[in-house]
Amino acid sequence: MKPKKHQLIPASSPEEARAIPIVADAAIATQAIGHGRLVPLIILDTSNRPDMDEVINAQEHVLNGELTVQWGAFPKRQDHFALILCFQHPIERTAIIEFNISKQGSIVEQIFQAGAIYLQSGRVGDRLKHDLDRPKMLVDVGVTGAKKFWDKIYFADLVKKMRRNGLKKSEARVRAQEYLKVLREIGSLRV
Amino acid sequence: MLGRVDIMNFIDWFDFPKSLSLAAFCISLFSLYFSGARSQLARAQEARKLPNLVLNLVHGQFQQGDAENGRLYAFKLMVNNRADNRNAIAAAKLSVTYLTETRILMKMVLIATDLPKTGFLMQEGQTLSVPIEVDAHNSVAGWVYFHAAEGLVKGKHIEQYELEITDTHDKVYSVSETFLKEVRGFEA
Repeated sequence: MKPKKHQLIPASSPEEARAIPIVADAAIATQAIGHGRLVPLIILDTSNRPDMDEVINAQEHVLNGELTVQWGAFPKRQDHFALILCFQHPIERTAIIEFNISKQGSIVEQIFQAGAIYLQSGRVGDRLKHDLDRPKMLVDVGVTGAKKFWDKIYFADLVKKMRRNGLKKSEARVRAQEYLKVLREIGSLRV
Repeated sequence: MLGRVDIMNFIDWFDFPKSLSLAAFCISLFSLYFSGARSQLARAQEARKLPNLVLNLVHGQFQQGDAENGRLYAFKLMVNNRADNRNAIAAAKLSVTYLTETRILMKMVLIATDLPKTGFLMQEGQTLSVPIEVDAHNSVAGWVYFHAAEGLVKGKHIEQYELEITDTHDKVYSVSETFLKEVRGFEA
């Protein structure tokens, strides 16, 4: 079946429909979770979304939560890719996390590689090393069918970036492929 | 002679094809009426086969345990199946609408637990454990339990409870409750 081009995102308030900015990123690899996979972590600026603090903290009190995961793109901002998370249990809420493809494309690539992402709430200037014990939510992104679209988008963005640096089209394509190969090799490292 | 004339007049007057078509028309009208009634009956029969559960909340209460045990919500339900087909309750959820300490309205969803956590008083009567089969034109009744960890409910101003059951056809039935009685006294 052909995927739908547009889909409504459930949001109970206007705040939920706005993307939550990412203030920092990191990656965590442990034997206990994900068999040593390098799982990316993003720290979200929840100063305007205190409900997300509640969602992330509540997750600490349940064994397994429930949510639906969807990737999306914006017609008016083609240089962005978004992860739409609809939390269902224990708290019902929607979060839209927007990634700038040029600057944060490697995080998206690593999310697809690991099949998961850690979410942590914070403020501008926060880093993972500041407080390792802060509540984190592990989101199983799984296979959504968005990978093939992402591969095309990211590859095109890399080629564009390399052409801006003075490379010819054919050379830029080769370099972009090499870059992706190295990125995926690093991403597939396990502890 | 008169009788003969009448019969002749009648024969002259009688238009066989017209009469036949009139009779056919009348028969088709009857047939249309009966087929309409039959179709209505069939539709009503099909409608009775559609999933139609009725959720009744008989009683609702909660017990507040210590920091380790959290809170246990107990609801006595009665579910009637009004349909001609069997159905089953596939999931039971409790949505708790609450205000956080920073006055944000949130909704917490708790999933029915099989057995109450230790340290809580068991209710007299059958415990309903999903999935629960409900025969056609039959009812099931019993207690459904929802456990909330202390961290989930501590400091929350609860606004409303909404109990939801979902049948095997993904049809959702719900009932709301604003006030729940707190039950005190725990097992040793």
